[in-house]
Amino acid sequence: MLLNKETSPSRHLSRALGLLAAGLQAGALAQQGPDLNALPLEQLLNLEVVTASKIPQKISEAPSSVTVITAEDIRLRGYRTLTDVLQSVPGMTVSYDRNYNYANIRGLGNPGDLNTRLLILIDGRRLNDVVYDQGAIGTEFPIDLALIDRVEFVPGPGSAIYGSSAFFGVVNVITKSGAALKGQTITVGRFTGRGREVRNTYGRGTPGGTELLLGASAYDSPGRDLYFPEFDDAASHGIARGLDYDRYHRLFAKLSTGGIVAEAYFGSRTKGIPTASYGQQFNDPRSLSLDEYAGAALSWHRAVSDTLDLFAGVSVARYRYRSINVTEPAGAGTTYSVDTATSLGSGAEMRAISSALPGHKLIAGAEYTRDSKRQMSNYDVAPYRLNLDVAAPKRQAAVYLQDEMRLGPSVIVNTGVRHDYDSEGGATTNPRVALLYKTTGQVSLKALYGTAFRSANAYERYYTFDFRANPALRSERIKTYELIAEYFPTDRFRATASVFQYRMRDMLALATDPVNGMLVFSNIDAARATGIELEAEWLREDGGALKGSANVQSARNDVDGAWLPNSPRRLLKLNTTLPPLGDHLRAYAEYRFTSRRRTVQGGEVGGFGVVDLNLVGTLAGSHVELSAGVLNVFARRYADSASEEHYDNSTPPRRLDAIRQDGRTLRLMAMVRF
Amino acid sequence: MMPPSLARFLLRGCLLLPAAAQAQAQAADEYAAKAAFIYNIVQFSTLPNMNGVVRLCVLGRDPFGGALATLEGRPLGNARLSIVYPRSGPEALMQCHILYISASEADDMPALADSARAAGVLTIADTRGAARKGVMLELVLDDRRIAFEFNGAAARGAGVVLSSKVLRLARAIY
Repeated sequence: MLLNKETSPSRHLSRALGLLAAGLQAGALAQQGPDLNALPLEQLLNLEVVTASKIPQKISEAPSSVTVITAEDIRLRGYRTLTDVLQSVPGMTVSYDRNYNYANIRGLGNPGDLNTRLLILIDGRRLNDVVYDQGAIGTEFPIDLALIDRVEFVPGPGSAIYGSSAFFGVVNVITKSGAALKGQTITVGRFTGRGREVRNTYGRGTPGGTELLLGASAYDSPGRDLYFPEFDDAASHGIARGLDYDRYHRLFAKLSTGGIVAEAYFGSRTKGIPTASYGQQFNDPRSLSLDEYAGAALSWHRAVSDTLDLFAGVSVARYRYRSINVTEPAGAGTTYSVDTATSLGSGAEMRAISSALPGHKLIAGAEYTRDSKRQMSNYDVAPYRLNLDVAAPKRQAAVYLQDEMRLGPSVIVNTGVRHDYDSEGGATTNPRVALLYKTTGQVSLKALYGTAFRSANAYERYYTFDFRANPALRSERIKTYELIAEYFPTDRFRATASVFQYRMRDMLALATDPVNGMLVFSNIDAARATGIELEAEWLREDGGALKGSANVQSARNDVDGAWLPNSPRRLLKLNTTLPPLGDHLRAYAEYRFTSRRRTVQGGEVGGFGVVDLNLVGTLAGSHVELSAGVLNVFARRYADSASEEHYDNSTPPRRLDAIRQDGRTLRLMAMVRF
Repeated sequence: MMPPSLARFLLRGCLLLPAAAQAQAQAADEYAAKAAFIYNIVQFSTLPNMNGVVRLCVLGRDPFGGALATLEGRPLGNARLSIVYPRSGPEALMQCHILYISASEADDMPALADSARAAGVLTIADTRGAARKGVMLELVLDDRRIAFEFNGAAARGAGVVLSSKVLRLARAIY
């Protein structure tokens, strides 16, 4: 494996720049059309126009640095998972252990922590479950990307609006409206590793404003055999055979009429576990994990007057987890054990948005959630033995208030505060302040301050199979400071520079109990991340686009000063959408460089640069759309850090230090629109 | 796994395609069409305070790119069109006959629309809901085509008259 080998980004960079140059050259060749100014009015109204891309003003005035990935971006780039989307976001890297994907935001995010400090929202409602707080961003994420209107990512603390888990950032996935789909589509896909996908979507809107959206998809990838040098022995030769399989099916429905929206989703994913995690027998075909998300929501929105909007909603969300852990060799003793978790929460919320007071935009809201089922269990199958069975239901309530205050033409002060009560973690109050100053029209300066918290989850408090419970855990806390300068001269060009510092305390980590020597979660860690993020985007008039971002950052443990695992110090991202190649073909290229990272075991994985390409073509009057992508075009060999759980049942356990990632992979999708 | 040579072939294909494909015709750019639409509709309007020069102003971030420059000096009856970029709302109301309010000024739009009505200035915007907020002419994109809504009350208040030939093409009149 190519560990400890730092590659200069320059070689890949020069390739990426070559791609960009090609795009620009193509743009320069764009033709001038006929003189539109001479056309009569009726003809102008019948002329088909190419919608201009604009960088929304809201992004500039938001009290943070927001990144928005639209449905059109998802289509042109061929994205299939939320991980694909998040990897294009400035400051974000995502690692993969062949089971789950782990986000690292501005240098923060352990491999193996299940994104507990990243809040994932579907249409504004929390997806993170209440047992593990898991933020689903891989194939277990239950919404098909074809049904997404846009993904908004806000780095930094969001607890002043969203409460617990909005710690390093918030990902809000907003689904499409039924009218946006205009009929039915059927898509089939083929992927490297013999993966197959089928998707069916239907959307329709009536002139009266009633809209219906339906989606169903199924994916099945047998995966490839994987080699793990750490597990190389006479029995298995280190090869996990047929254990990288990944299967899911998903359903989605949304009906809206006159300000009332009802929606429901279901997603179930089964993933083979090739890494023998948590002391399993390596290469046993039975190891797997199942993640199942289901949710439903009913909301009501009404513009009561020009200055008052009211919103109310109820929702229910369920998460089920099941994993099969094979800890003994086949034929010996216990067959296997099963680990399960069930999370069921229902909630109600209301919100009022008022601009009645001149110069102010006020948002006030309240939420109540009852987590009636919050259960974990672990049992051996034959002979049956119950190792763990804990139920810890809880309740949460919150009130919040935000004000966007305009002080004259050039100053906006955005303040917010939210008070959360958690029947387990107690009460906490989190403020946020953003000061925005617009200088002479084109340059704005922002200063941001905020705090956030994460209530310890059921697993950290009560899981006692291997370690001692600690129900008295306090919430983790973070404070962040950020300064942003933005240059935004036209609707098509924007550049920002940001300096940030994140300070965390009371972070949960495993410690050894001095009395009985067992492992126990404790509020012992503190860490901080400091860095600079630069970003620019240019939407060209010929329909092409060019975006880039660079991060230089450092994340350290405050207790011992150590460089945090999985934390890259430099990131570079460049992506370009070429101008339309004629009427029917679009091309996209993306380059991502991640510098070397420390592994959890104290080793290092080398830096790497990856280039992805995607082509989208339409045929037969846009009734057929073909999308072809090559990921990791130059077959760059790179690895992500493994986490503490990646050890097998040998004595002493064999631990994985790094997990090799995919080489070049292909994806082909064909869609027919009826 | 795909052989490396195939990947290189695909990559080269990507790079060479643009030039070849550009030869085909394209649909009109949104803002070129909107500029043409504004010019067209102004020809069917009677504006107060006109005298030789009609100043079309863009307030806020300019989305037109180079499209408005093609209108500079174009005839409007006996007058000529001139494009101006005022720095503030009050400055715009002093010198403009036609005021395009950019999306970047959306928050100030109701106030701007009110003072423009008092000053006899034709207001235009392409922010959703602008006509309802008192802007006289709102440009909208409806299934990739330009359409418009008209606020007749605001126009009457300003003394702006739009030909009935144009009005019957409006998607909505308030």
